[in-house]
Amino acid sequence: MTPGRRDTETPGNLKTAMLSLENIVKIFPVEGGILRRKIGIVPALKGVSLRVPAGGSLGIVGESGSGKTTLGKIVARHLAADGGRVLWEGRPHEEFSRREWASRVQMVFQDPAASLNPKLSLRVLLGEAVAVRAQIDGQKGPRRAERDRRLQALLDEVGLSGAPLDAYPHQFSSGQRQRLAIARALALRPRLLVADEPVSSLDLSVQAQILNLLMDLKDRWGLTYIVISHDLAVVSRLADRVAVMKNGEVVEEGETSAVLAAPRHPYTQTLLDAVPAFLR
Amino acid sequence: MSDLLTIRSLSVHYRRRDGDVKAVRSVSLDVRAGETLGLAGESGCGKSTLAMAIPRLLPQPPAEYAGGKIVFEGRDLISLSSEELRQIRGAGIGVVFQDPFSALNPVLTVGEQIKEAFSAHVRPCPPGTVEDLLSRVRLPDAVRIARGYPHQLSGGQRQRAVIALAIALGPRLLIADEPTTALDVTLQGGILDLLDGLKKEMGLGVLLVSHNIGLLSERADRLAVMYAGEIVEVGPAGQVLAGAFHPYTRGLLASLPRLSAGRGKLPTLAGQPPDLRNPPEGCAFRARCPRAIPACGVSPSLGAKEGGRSVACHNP
Repeated sequence: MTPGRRDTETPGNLKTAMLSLENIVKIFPVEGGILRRKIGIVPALKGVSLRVPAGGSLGIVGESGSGKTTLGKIVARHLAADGGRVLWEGRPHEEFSRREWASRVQMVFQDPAASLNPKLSLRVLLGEAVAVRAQIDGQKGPRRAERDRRLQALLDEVGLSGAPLDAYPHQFSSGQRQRLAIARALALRPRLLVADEPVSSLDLSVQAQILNLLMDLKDRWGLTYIVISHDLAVVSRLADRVAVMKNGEVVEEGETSAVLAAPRHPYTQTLLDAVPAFLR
Repeated sequence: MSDLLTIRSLSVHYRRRDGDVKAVRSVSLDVRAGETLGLAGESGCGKSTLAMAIPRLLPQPPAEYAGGKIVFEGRDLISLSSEELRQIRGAGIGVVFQDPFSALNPVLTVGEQIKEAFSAHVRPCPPGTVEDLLSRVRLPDAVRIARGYPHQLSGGQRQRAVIALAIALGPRLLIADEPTTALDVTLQGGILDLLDGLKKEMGLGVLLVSHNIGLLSERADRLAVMYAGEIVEVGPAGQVLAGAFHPYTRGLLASLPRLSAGRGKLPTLAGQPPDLRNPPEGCAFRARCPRAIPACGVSPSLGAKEGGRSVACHNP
């Protein structure tokens, strides 16, 4: 530290973040005409930088079109960025194979009906993920009895104890399907879970159950979260820090309680005002 | 305020081989002119069945009216002929559906569909009517929209076109079933503002059905809460939300994440709603209810409380 310059960074922040996003840019082409030619571009992310420490929980809020889902997909490597760097513990994501990344970062989506292959039984849906994880760890895939035991343990984790492994996703309610989607993500034993609108397609009484499950799992598995939502109230439950996105940029970032108590950006205030009065 | 719509002891069942689903069970409810009645409830509680049963839009079979009355402007809709019903739909009761795409005819322009609504009711559609309607639903550039086909419109524009159709013949009651659920969050406010505006301009009674209590809290004058095919609570929206009587309403409201509450677990409702093929004897919420008493073995009726509120509970 040089004299005269106070370094306000705490030692914890000086350590490498688990996940860092540096100046992420994403551009989507606009197609038009009968030949679907590229007639323009839409910048979806205009240089987003964020850091998530191990064990932390970052909320990303913003309305549709703000780029928050695109950012989540880039973190999970479902989409490639057009610029900037994604770093895992300081190492660029390109150094990791697809599988290595999948064993670190998993994503849970808004609509569990769409994210779970309806043709696969639980045994196949979850078993595939368990087998992938075994391969990453340099082990052979477990035998059937052992695998079934592990799958049941996984179902226990998400509150679906005793669900038959021969069952298919459509045999479950939407809340149970979201639990299955979470179980499948956990089967890879990730360290970071990106949850994109994890409760917004669910019934009200089920939303609280899934939010509670996510809170439990974070503690039990020592997970790190990125929670993406348009709903500030949902994010305020799960995230210790929050980034507010608008038009592809982060307009405000800080501790959740501080941002909610004293928003600095007018757009954050707009989002706060959008929460119905009786839920404030 | 007079009752525009009076529903008394209405039951609607769906015939199924594995047992009839009793989707609406002895519901009584009023909608008054000039008010928005919010109908809240979770999936499968029967709120959409109730909404679509009013203009008799449920296909029969499998739907079956198993008792009760639906009195609209003094006439019981259940006893009307299909020709009389056709006159009331559109001219008396307008309907806005969740999915604006399937509510419009894909091979007709928006303008043609509005004109068709007039001709179906043997009414003249003077020049300028279409454009006037489209501007009333705040669709700018009405001439272009009128010439457009549904697929050429955005989701928000389509829903506005559906609303234009719903109000074309000057109905007194508008039924809106999850009118913004299929739309982007950013468009929802505009559609709800529009419904509010039309309610005031036209003195409409609006039945607004939604799973989203937050939305209803801002748009409904009165709120009715439905559970397992029954109305469990009705009252002025602000009062119900500030101090619900029914344990189900209270449990549901307590489970909602609130901004001020900070971190930590949310209270949840234990258990599942009952199977409506075989609803339980007595109060349908009894098995999940923290306040259940022996009296709950007998079905509670919706009893009046002070301040225009009512609740169906033996031990509120």
